Amino acid sequence: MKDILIPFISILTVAGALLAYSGCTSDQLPEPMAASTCTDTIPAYDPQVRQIIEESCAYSGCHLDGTALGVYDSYQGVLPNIESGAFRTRVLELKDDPNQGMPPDYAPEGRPKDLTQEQLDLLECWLDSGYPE
Amino acid sequence: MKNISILIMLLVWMAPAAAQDVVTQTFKDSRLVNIQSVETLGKRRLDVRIGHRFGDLLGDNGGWSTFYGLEQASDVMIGAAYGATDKLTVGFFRTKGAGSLPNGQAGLRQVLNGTVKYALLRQGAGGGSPVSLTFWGVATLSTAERIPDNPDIIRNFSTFSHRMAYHGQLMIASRLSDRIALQITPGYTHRNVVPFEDENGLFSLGVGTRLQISRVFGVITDVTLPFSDYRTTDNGFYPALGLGLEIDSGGHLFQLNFTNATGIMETDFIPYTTSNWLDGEFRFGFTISRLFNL
Repeated sequence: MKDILIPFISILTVAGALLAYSGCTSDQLPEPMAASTCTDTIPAYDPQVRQIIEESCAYSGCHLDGTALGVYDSYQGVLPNIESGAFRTRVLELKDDPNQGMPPDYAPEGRPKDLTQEQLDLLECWLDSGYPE
Repeated sequence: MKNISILIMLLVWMAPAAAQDVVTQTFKDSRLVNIQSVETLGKRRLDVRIGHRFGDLLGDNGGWSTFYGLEQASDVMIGAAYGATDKLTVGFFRTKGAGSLPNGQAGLRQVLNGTVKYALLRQGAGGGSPVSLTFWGVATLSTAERIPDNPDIIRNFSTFSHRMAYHGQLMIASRLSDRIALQITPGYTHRNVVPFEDENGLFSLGVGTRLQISRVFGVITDVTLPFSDYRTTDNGFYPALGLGLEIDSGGHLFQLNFTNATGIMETDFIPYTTSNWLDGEFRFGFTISRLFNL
């Protein structure tokens, strides 16, 4: 029984120490401002960003059926790749890379192989403004 | 506050006198759908527990395309609680974290939860106290990676304390008959960091019921209402409302449930429930609990 209890109590002790270390604060994040990359109002996931994603990312064989990482059928589905920074990196920073940049040059017929500058600007503004839903 | 402290001390003082002949099982489990129950574990009992919440059953994010939410996992909990004494239960649970604000701002993710539960008073059987009273506390720590480039989101984690949130509650319950139990749960949640114009401290009230329908099956319901001028339906927040079926198979307890809450722990579902039952934004979930005697 001690073999089970010792690690269990150790974990609780570490958790207690973390609590004591971190303490209690009452902080508030700053007021979200339209990022400098925005030229107009801040776009939201629904409908502006969703329309781009449905057209360029969320289709069979890509970010819809598990072929590529992330099931982009909802805001929650896109969120992990946004929060990790992967979405920004692949869509904006590596956009000219034929394989890493998204959408890729090997996108199927009828699907965009590149986003328009207007779409890229909208996504950059949305990401910089805290990617509201 | 002083009056509450005196009341608690009085109830603790009354506890030994009322402990002669008490109601042993107001609820079958230590948890209803979303809220905790007054039940603590017996001394040296270990409760290993797995909880799961799927995606929206219906609505914009549910339906056939996600097989009614079964292809998505809103939140997953795994962990254990241990009865240090018959009155004191301590626990440790890992959850994925799921709650978000209406604008999509995510709450704490990849979280560790340390819990403590203490039975202050037990309902007397045939006299004594008409209610059982238990304290429950949880401290939540996010282990998610920082996103330092965006100061507008919680995961910026500019200080370590921003990874933490706390919740404490009193549970007042009564077994009204052999089949029916009722619980009310005033609570307080504190988040060390909140989005702009949100509130760090949040009072709430939970109400839970259980109806025993046969030796094996019980129906449970609960609702949790935050007291806040900000958390209104107009602003996109909704009370966490759960409905579940308990199946007692002896050593295991299975619970099948439906709830609009995405998060499982109190520090998640109380401040961050933004899904609406009436829009089909509720999900199927289950809990499996196995008790061990150590």
